[in-house]
Amino acid sequence: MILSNIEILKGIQVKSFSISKLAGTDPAKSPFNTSAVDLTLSSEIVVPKFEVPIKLDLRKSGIAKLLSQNSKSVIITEDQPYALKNGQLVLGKTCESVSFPLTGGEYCYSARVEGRSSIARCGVLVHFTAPTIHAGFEGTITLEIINLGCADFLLYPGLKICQLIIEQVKGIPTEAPNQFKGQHNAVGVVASPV
Amino acid sequence: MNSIAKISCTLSNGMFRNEYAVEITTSGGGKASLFVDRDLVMLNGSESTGFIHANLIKDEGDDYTVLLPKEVMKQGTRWVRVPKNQIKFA
Repeated sequence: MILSNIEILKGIQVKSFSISKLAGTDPAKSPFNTSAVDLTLSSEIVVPKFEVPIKLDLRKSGIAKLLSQNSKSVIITEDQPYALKNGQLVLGKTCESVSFPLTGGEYCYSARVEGRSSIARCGVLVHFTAPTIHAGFEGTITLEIINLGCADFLLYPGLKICQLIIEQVKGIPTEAPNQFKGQHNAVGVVASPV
Repeated sequence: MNSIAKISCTLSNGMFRNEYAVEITTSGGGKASLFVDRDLVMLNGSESTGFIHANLIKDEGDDYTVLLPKEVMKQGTRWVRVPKNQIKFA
């Protein structure tokens, strides 16, 4: 069952799920639509930069490291947006952090991230392969952005890049993937950003 | 069984600045590669080794089936089987 704008707001208010940094709480205004909420692009994008031809093989160890070594993090600003060229892929993420906790009871929630028609008209896909936000997920949403249009497309922070459709999941999954959230300070040193 | 443990891992910078590229040893000597947010990683004396939290799902003798914080690149799931010698109890 897909939640309406009213039900999304209710869900946030009773802490069934959360969307941090949401730009507004009036369900009749942006970022809400009748059955979705718009999310915005953060200021960091990742640009693949394979300088020599390589074959990506998910069966091989170190694939995450290989992808990281062959990509470049770029900070974009309102004044210095990133011009996404025809055929180019970059990764982005949402400003908003979402959380769909497994709290018990009869229901939990999951979501799907979908494109927006205005961006689609420009030929840009924002999630072409991984729309599912599973129950238990917590964090920002990674977007795979590719430009299939003829013109460069400017990516800037705060761009309404995608919409989140929230669904009710009947029953609670047997295992709670994020039970350990918030417990990372118990032992050891918490890593700091680069 | 559903308790929390730490899995030994090697670390390198991830694609985004707030994540690590993480590699853990799985049963049979294999490796599982995944991206994990930095705030879910505990360093072990250097920036290249550490621990990630995981839920212990099932005792498999010499191994545990665990639920990781993020999906493994190869399998696309969070469930992997890890030797017990790679696990430290939280």
